[in-house]
Amino acid sequence: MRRTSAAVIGTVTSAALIFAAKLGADAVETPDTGQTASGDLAPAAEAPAPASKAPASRAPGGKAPARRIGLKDGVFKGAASVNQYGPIQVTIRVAGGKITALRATHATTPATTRQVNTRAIPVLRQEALSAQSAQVDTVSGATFTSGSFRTSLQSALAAARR
Amino acid sequence: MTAPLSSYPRAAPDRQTVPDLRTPLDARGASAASDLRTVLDSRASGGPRTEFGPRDGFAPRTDDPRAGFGSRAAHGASATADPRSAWPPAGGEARETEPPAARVAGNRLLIVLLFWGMFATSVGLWVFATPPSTLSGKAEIVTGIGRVTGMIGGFLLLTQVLMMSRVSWLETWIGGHDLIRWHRWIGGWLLVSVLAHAGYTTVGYALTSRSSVVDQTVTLWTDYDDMVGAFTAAGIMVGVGALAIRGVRRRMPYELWHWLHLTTYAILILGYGHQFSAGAELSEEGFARLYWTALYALVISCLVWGRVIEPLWFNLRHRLCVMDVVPESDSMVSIYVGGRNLDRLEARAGQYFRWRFLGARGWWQSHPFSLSAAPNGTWLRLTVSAAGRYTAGLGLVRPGTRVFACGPSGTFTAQHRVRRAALLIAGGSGIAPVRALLEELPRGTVVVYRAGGPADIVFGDELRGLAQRRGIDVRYVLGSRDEPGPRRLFTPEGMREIVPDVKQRDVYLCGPPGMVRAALATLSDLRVRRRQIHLDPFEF
Ligand SMILES: Cc1cc2nc3c(=O)[nH]c(=O)nc-3n(C[C@H](O)[C@H](O)[C@H](O)COP(=O)(O)OP(=O)(O)OC[C@H]3O[C@@H](n4cnc5c(N)ncnc54)[C@H](O)[C@@H]3O)c2cc1C
Repeated sequence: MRRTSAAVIGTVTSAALIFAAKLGADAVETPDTGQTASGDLAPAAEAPAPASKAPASRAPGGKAPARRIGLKDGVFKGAASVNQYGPIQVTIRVAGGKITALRATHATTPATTRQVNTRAIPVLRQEALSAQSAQVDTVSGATFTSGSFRTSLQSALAAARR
Repeated sequence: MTAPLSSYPRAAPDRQTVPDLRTPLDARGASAASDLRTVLDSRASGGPRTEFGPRDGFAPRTDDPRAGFGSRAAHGASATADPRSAWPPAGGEARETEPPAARVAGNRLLIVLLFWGMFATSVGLWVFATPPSTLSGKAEIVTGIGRVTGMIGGFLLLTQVLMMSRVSWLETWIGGHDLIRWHRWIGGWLLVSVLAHAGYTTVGYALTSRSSVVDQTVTLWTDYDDMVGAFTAAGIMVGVGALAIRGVRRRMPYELWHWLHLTTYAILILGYGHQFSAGAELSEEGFARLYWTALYALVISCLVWGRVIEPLWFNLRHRLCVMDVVPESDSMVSIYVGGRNLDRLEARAGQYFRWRFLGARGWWQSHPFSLSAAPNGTWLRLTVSAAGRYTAGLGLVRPGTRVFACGPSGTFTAQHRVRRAALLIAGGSGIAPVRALLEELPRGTVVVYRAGGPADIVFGDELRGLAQRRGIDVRYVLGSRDEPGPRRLFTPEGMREIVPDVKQRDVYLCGPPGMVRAALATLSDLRVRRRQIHLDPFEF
């Protein structure tokens, strides 16, 4: 191979790879890449939660009458709340004015954080679903996670009331 | 071991058969061997003329009749023909304006660019996924360093394996020797980054969870997936790194060192799991994971390709076997190897193969030996000097022995010239690839053959024949290192005396390390550019 072809091929390939790495990182929704989701937002026939880039909400077509706590129907994503172990972001689905499903994305690394999160979030999620509000108790040993969970859930609820 | 190391058994094979076996047909279909003999007999007509004649016996030219040379013709070695003498056609190369290397000069550049591009991408996976805002505290910064050194270590490990995969494009683009050099160099950085990765990550996690480093290490071992494997891999790496220290390695037999070094493949397997299960950058779907998986796939396929498929394919196609074994001097022996489809063999003069003589002593070892004649479509030849037990035993290899060869490798070829003219300096067994190269270099090439004395010279007749037929100027510099002739050779004046236009030539060096060092020093005094110099060290 000649020098010029090598220089062109080498540079273009390298630039493409680096660019792809950048795009790949940007495609991840929240600041930290070590993310996973707990909970399921897709009851019955509904499509799963849309992956929206904006931390605010997205109101779908259905306009159910507001009930007791005045929540609109649809899927609402709370702002990510970052604590020292990473971000937590709660997404809720409201149907008939009630929170019917809840999902939280959270950091999975370092592995200690993942262990804390994977233990705490199902508990928090269950509490939130039964309380139908952000008044959830702190899970012991997961103070930061619980705090961020509350904050993000509050923001999702606020979006649902708008 | 009973055989003395420094000499070969004199019981040479039946000479009668030699010319028949080794007589190739040249392009015109005539017997090149008889051609050559005619030339040798009529060489009185004179060879290449140079205005700077031999002085004080320093560097006499090949047509200088020297005692001891003539007698070697009776040895039968002169039967070795030069079927390539008509190739490249005289003047054919001269018409080209660019040096031969222009067509291959980009190969190495491409590899270097891709290496750095992929290195940057691997680091980029961490950089792009880590906004500066997340590096707010001490724990985050320490963990961050742990992660980025992990990405670097993971990437370098794959490069290390790739460079040793023996895959043919690397072996012929970079050459085994530079691959080993890079491998050694990158190996040091790999060790540093893996140790930094383990250290910083452990400390970073300990800071985050406010526990002690010891507790954190225990947690890593017990609570995390694949972490025992990762720590074991790091341990192996430290062990192998310690063995690779020159002083330690020199003291071990090559084979032992080689086999211990092969345990490094375990690092690839043991270290793999934790990269995906605990690696922040790789545990999620996305480009990072795709890229990393692709890197692994590339390296593993090159490994299988270079270590299994190519060797099997090559040996099934050519089915090499020893045709003849001919002593060249007290300590050197030539092995002629025949096989099928040798006209389709894609090897060049100056390259080497890794040879394994099946059914001979030491069949489990493979050793690198250069071709000592350009491939001619009929046979291959290697010329071995007795350096140790294994090479001393090669004189006893019997014709008919099956040969398993891997290659070709190396960039010590005429194709890599950056100038048109060349100077070749050979010492000891270094004459083997130089002898082969002569068949592919243009008229006017100068060979300086450094040897202890007339008895150590091999290929005397072949060199004379090549000098006649291809217009090559062969100079002998005989004597021990301290004698005036050899001393003068490695001075700028001495070198210029033999080759006044040395700066306009590519210089090919092959011989004992001391000679190569002396030559390099002289060439650097003469301001010969480094890229004009080609080395073929016989040691990895
Ligand atoms: C690219 C290359 C081309 C070579 N071409 C020739 C040639 O044309 N003619 C020739 O006489 N010699 C050649 N050699 C040298 C030859 O390979 C060694 O002399 C031979 O392997 C020594 O083996 P031994 O067991 O007899 O000697 P030992 O005394 O066991 O070893 C001497 C040294 O040779 C090296 N060595 C030993 N075994 C191997 C091996 N399996 N692979 C690589 N290196 C090894 C080690 O550095 C060792 O220190 C070449 C070497 C290389 C790297």
